Amino acid sequence: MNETAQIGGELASNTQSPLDDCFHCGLDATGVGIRERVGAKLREFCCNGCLQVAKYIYSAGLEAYYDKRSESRPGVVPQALADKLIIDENADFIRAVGDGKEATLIVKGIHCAACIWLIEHVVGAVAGVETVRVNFSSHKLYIKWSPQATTLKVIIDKLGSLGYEAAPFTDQARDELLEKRRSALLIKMIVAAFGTAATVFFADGLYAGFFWGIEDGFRDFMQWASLVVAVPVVLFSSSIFVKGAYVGLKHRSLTMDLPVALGAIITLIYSSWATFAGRGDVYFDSACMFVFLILLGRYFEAAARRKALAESSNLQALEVNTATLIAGGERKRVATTTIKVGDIIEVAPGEVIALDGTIIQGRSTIDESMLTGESRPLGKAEGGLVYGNTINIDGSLRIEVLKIGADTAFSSIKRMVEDAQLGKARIQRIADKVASYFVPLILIIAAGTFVYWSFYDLSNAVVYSVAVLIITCPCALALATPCAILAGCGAAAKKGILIKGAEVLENACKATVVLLDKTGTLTQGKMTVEGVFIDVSSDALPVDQAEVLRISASMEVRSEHPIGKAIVKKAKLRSSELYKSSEFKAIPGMGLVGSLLETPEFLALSGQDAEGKVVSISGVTELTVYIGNEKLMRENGVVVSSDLYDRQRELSSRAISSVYLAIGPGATSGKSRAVAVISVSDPVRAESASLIKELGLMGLKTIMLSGDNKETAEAVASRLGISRVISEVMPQDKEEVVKKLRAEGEVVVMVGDGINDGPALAAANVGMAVGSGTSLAIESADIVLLNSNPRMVGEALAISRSVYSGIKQNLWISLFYNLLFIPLAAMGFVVPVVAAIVMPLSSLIVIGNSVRAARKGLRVKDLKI
Amino acid sequence: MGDLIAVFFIGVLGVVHCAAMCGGLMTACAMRFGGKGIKPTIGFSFIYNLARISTYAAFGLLMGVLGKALIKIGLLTEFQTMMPFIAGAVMVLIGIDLLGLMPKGAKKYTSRLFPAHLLGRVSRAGGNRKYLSAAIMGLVNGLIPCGMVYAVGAKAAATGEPLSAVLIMAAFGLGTFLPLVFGVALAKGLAGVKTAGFTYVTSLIIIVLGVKTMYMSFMGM
Repeated sequence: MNETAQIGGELASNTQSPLDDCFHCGLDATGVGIRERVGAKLREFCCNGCLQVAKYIYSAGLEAYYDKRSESRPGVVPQALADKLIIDENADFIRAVGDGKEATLIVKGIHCAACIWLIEHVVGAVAGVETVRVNFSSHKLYIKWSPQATTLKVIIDKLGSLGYEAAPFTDQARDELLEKRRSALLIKMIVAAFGTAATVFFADGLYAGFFWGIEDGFRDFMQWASLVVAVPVVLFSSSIFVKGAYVGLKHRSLTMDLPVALGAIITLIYSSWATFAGRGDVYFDSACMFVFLILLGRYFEAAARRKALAESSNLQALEVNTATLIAGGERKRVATTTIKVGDIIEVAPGEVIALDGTIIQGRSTIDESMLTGESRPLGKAEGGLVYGNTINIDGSLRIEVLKIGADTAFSSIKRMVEDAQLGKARIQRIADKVASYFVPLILIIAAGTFVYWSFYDLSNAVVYSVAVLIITCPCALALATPCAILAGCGAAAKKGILIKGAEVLENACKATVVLLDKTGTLTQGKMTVEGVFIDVSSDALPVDQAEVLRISASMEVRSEHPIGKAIVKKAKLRSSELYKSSEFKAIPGMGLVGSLLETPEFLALSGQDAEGKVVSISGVTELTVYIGNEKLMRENGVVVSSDLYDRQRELSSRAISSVYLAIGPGATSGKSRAVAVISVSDPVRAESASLIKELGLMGLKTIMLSGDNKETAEAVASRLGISRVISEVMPQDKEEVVKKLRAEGEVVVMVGDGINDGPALAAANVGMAVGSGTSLAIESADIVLLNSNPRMVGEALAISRSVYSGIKQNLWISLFYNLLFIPLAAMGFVVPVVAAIVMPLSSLIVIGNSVRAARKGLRVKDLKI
Repeated sequence: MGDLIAVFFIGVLGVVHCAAMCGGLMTACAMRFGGKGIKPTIGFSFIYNLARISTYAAFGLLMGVLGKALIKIGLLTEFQTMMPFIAGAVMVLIGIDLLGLMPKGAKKYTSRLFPAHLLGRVSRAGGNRKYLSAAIMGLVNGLIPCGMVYAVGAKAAATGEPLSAVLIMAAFGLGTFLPLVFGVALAKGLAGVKTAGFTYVTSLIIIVLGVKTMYMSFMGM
């Protein structure tokens, strides 16, 4: 708000220059767009002349003139201008991140790679700007700045001074911009096509004359007619190139527009001269035609780019704008933006759920494929969480809204995908650098071509050098990387694979080792009780399975341990009554010890031990209970029958974890005694084995990380075909494992569930979080797999490889293209018209190859989950 | 001779167009050094404008030399007629611009070569010496980017003769002389007057002269 007031104040005090009139001469300056800070205030000028004069007057210390002058020219409060410039620093497209703020803008006027370079350098140099990234394909600018040091207005003004217009990015703004560009291109193209038709018609006569002779008068007429048509046509149609070239030159960077503009203008000037002079050949038809063809190429390129963009932004396809709000018992259709957290909305069958929330009434199956890529619908009932932009298939639901706007899962995923596309890979920075040397090199080659051929034939010299100017195409070079990344990340996102950027792709395909965290990645991450084995030796206590679970659950009910949770869950399925218990003592690495404050039923009912002797237990107020591994039993002197011991060993060898339940003295004569073994396991996901096989085929080493004991871990590993296991790893040690592997020179991909292995994911070259779109995972991982199918790990790596090789192919294609055609053009084998056909083709090939690479990467076409 | 008269009138009529700009500048200078009353102001203006025209003449000399050099180079490549041809085209474009037919945004892209701050400091060199300051500031005024000066400069270059080029620029400068000497008064007097009519005539003269230059370039062959 401060900022707003300040801008308003500045303009309001600037009463010398009425709205949109030149500050110096007072003439109308509407639409000229020359706005500069002179005398510490932003002022409008009608032309650069006036601007310079004003600067000069201030520098010469003569500014008193303006003060005097203003007395006779009372100012108008420039309300409209003030409105135009106000940028509310609290607008909702500006997001706060930590101390800084970030926003995504759409930038108008980006022509080529040099523009990107220019914007990133100049805006990046503004004090307070932390990050600035521009995407060539989508014309999106991501900016992060510190609000203490600068404001978005300063940044937008800076962009304006470079000749670019910036506006908040919305899908609508993007579409409008694309549409505008498209129609502008189309009109210019149509005009050029008309010019081409007309001049070719005239040229026909001229060419015929070249062979069979033509009367001078007639020839003159044809040439003049061509000139009259071609000059306005070429000037109009090539204006986008000329403008682009000019803006580039002004900022001392040579853009791709320059050679094209030069080619068009030189041809035009030469032909006009030939017409006036009445000698030499005219090339009006060529000029029109190549302008037409290059425009056509750009048009196709824009269309292809739009398609690539559409592939990447299918996340938008489902966005819903309205929802049914239940307020005061009435249904009301409202815009989603007006809904607040805590509101109740109703979602009819077949409708898209608008926002994240909890189901408070009804049950349904829900298709979450747009979020997770998982094609199987999920059943959800009251209390279940549902996410915005997913489809409610068959039931009517009432939902209490939990998250709105930018906080929803969908929004954060979308933002991540978009940010990823703005990132820049090392390889692209190299390509950008090469491209920046490209244009000057081409100008030199063209000049050389001209000088060389002018010794022989001036007319040929012009034609050949123009061909060189037109045929060269750093566009392909500049497009190679962003296009492949855009298509690749987009295609991956469709499958629920979120890749955080170009750098990640690059690292992922250099990987040598894949570290897989067992729990939650290769397994389902949910411990379940598999079996309860009662001691059947002759002197065992008379317990049954239900009782074992009930006693164990009574102790474990307050436990956070996954095994404890599994036991409690299982017990609750059978009977909900638990015994009263005291606080327990957890012994890390072993288990727990606690006391029951009630006499268990089996003892109370039977009242006798296995041998038929009645044991007095009525006086027992506390019964010690041990739940844990063999070590716990041993250290507490618990008697374990050989039957139970064998059972436990056998489970271990099958990769199944187990715990003993032992009951302390008081229930038995003297010693504590193990009464049962409870086996728990975390089922291995069905697809884990095929993932390991796949990674092997890709030439990657796999290592499994597990907190289990060596035996269990190795059993799981051998079943999956993993050769190396690092077992008994505590969560906090995972990071160390990653670091050690990296120190050994490996490029490590760490795959985890993103919940307790954040540091390890961050320490790896590539951290991959499986099966969750939580903000935690999104923050710590480089690749997020929204789907929990382990095969997506392989999929993600395959896409990275395929996109990266697509990038390399693209760079080679454009290099080869330029190396082949530039010499040909310089030698005079390529006429400008052919050059104009070949040049856009090279760009189209690069775009096509990118889309192909992205599609190839997705080998698992239909996931069976 | 016909051309000289034409550029003279470009000057006379053109001043009306740019009285607001150069007139403003001159007024700014005169306010500081001109003193009160008509006489001292006229004296200041006289020196100031004489200096300004000197700059034009010097610019003409430069253009003439440049034109001659280009034509000499052009002879080697059969391009000798290109230079006047391009110069004529530049004049036509400037004429169209003066008519206001160029897209408005295009003005943004015209020359920014004028080193305003540097010259601003230079012009303080005269200190409080009235006539010296007038001379320095007049010389600087001659350098201010101006479409008309460039149009006539192109014409001067097209002659390909340094001497003719100086004459052309001087004739133009003389055309602007008298009106600008009274520029202060003129600027005020014109405040409410429609200047469009004058501008059209100026622009048309420039365009006609440009086309003629283009055409004549081939007649000379």
